[in-house]
Amino acid sequence: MTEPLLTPDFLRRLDRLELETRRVLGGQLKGERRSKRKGIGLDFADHRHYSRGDDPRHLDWNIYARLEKLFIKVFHEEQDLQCHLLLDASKSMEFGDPNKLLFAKRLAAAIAYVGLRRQDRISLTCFNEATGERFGPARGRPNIRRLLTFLDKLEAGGETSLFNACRECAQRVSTRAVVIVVSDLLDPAGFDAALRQLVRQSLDVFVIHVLAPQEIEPDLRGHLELHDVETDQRIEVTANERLLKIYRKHLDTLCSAAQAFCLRRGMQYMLVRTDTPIEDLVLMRLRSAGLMKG
Amino acid sequence: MNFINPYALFASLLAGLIVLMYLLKLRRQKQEVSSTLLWQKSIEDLIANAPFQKLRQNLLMYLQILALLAIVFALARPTMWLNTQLGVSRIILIDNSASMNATDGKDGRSRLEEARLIALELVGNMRRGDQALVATFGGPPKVVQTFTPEQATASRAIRSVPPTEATGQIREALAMVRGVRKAVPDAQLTIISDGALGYLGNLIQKDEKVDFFNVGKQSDNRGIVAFNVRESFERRGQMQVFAEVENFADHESTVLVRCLVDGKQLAIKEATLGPRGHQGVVFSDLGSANQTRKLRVELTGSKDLLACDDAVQGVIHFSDKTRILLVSRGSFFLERALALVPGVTVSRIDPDKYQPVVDYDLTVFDGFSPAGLGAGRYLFINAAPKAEGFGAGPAPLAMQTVIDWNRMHPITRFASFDNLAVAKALDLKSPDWMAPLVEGQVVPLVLAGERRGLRLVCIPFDLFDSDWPLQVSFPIFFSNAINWLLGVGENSAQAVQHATGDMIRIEGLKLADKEVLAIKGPGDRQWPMPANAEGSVFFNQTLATGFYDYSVAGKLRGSFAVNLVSREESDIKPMESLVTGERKLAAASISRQNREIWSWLVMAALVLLTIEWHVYGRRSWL
Repeated sequence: MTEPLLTPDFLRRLDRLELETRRVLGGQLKGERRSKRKGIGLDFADHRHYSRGDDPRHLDWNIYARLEKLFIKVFHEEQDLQCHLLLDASKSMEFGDPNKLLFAKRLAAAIAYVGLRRQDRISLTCFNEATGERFGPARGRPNIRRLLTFLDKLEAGGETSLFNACRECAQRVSTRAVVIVVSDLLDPAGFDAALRQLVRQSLDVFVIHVLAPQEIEPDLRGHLELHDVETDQRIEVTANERLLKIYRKHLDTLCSAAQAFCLRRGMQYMLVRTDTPIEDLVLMRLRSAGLMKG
Repeated sequence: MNFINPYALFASLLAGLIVLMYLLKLRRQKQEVSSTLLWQKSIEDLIANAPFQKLRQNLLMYLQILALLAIVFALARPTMWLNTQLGVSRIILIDNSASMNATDGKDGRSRLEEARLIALELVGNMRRGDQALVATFGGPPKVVQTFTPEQATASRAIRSVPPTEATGQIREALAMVRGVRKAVPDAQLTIISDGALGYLGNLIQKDEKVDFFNVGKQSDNRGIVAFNVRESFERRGQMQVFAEVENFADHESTVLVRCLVDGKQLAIKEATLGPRGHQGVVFSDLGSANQTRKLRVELTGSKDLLACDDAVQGVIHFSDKTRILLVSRGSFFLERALALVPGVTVSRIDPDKYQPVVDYDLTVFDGFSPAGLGAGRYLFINAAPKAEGFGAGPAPLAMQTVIDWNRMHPITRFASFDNLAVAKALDLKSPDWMAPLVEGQVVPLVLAGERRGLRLVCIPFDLFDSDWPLQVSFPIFFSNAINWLLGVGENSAQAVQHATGDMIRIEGLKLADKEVLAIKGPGDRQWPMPANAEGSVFFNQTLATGFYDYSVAGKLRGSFAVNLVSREESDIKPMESLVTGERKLAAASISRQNREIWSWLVMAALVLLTIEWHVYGRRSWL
């Protein structure tokens, strides 16, 4: 029996969390989330002067009796949160120890679990050239089991198509939403054009860059024929200190470029090693990054 | 375009080898990675894909350039000024005679070692297609290596040339070369020697291709150049030793001459020799020689360059009185002549009473010839031996005078036959092995010969039919004849000392089946020698001076000595040229000429390619 994506203990700790966005995002449906928008809701927010056209049902008659002036009671409007998870399920994610795809599935499961529990609209798109499977949009706790089953069955395959995934996401999401991209960004076409699709929609974008320890510090020596599991490409190298140094330089360049790109466009970038405990990532780093609260 | 060596183009097939090397290096360990994206960029960083880049320090590049240069130079067929002495076919005659043992070479090397170095250099300069024959002529000439085109084989043969203490037999060697030249007419003869070769006469023709390389620098040597042992004239039965010592150096020298008998010093004498002077030394009172004694005369007190002529040795053996049987009806002159020979006892019997006996050392038949002549020593007078090849014509020959006689033979030496007249002589028919010593008008008047244990002297006329008994030569002849027949000379040191390189015959061996004669020479060298059907052993390994003992089944049967005693060999003054007839061969030296060295460069290229492949495989410098 395979290990469950999320342990019961971790689930209990996730129950206390909810998704957060740094921006005022308007949901389509009423939800459990007190939005920053003022409107109809349960939680009193403020008073304002009555103006023509306001609903007389919201007049505060007690104030009128005291001050003989008309004030309207303003409430925090409770809305749902649209959260789109873009999960890289290409063959390159099927690498590393701990496995990158498994790590990404756990991370996606945790985020989606939090969202579904808080009545947020969660959709999950697995992007790779071959499958492009999608979950949701879904809302509410009954979908949690379906989500976990979906993730359980998810397998890596094909090449990365980050651009297609981002463009489709941008076209599909009509309102503002939180978009979380979980990928290794090892796309031969590059990541900047793809992420630029999401910038134009003014979405709150989190880019979680997942890399295996073997990719960050490759333990390779000698004369090797490297086989790309995603593209099936083979190249011959003689791994020596000089080559490894250059490799690390290129990896740093990739990460730095992704971080800089995200920072300039208001996106959140987070580089995550797969040997990071998922609990630490979700409960600490994502909270400190502003994606979770509670 | 012409190629001097078009076969070298086959070397281009080595490119396949290089390709194979590169194929071999492709064996790499397979390793899966998530993406080759970053690796590809890293490699591109290493191997710049721009058409030009800054020249980097790359050992591979330098190695390849060096290899390319080596190959290009090889194709240019460069030449270099190197040692050479070339010939298509070369006969290398190395003198390994006694004088070549003189140690006046560089760093104390002997002349033979110097000669070997010259020969090795000549062989080392052989080109493709050249061939060399290596022969020596210290003692009997010997071909050490027949014609070979392989340098290694010829070099090995040259290194194996042994030193000998024999005289150089250049005449025999040149006769051998003539035989070789019949098969290889254009062969170049190279003689490597110190020039102590004696008289060459016209051995080398004017148009013959001959080189002479001389070795040796000095002449500082003293040696014993003559040696003899004889009975004292003054004291019968006492032995005397005579040795002549000669100084071949250009300065005066004093030597001590020591005489040893059976290893014990008998006497020592001093001899002062002027430049190239000589002096005879006599040692007397050696005692009677009724037993075998080993005698040695040696020079001490003066160090010279050649050691093997500093000592001579001999084996002395005198038997007791010799017994002669005279089978005759009575011959006054003959009996008187026989009685004059010292140490001889003569017994006479009538022919009618003759019975073959073995108690006598010599039998003289006068006018009588017995049937069934066995092995032994016989003197026939006026009778034809009844043996194979002998016979007498039906009518005697009248009035025979002497035409000529052999003056060198031991029997006729010191005797004159000028006035000998023979009234009647047998028409004696003799076999080929009987040598005529005194030639008459029709038949020989004296013959002598030796074959299969039979030693004969024949006088085919009656002494009373001639005036010979009245002549001076008569007693001298009989003395000589008896000494020769009895082997008196052989019983003296003169006979039991042989010259190095001589063939020695040991007779009278009665060996059982599978029994061999064991000859032990100087330096404890041993030779097992089987005897032939006649009980004789021929031994020619007399290349070292010293005593040789021979024994059968561990029992000593006899000894003989081998000495150099050669003025030519002892005179080690190196010759600057060889004079043969009208021709003078000046000493040559290794000459120089252009020689291709492309093969070295190709070898360098191959080595560089190998290093390059090794470096490429390691990729350590990338």
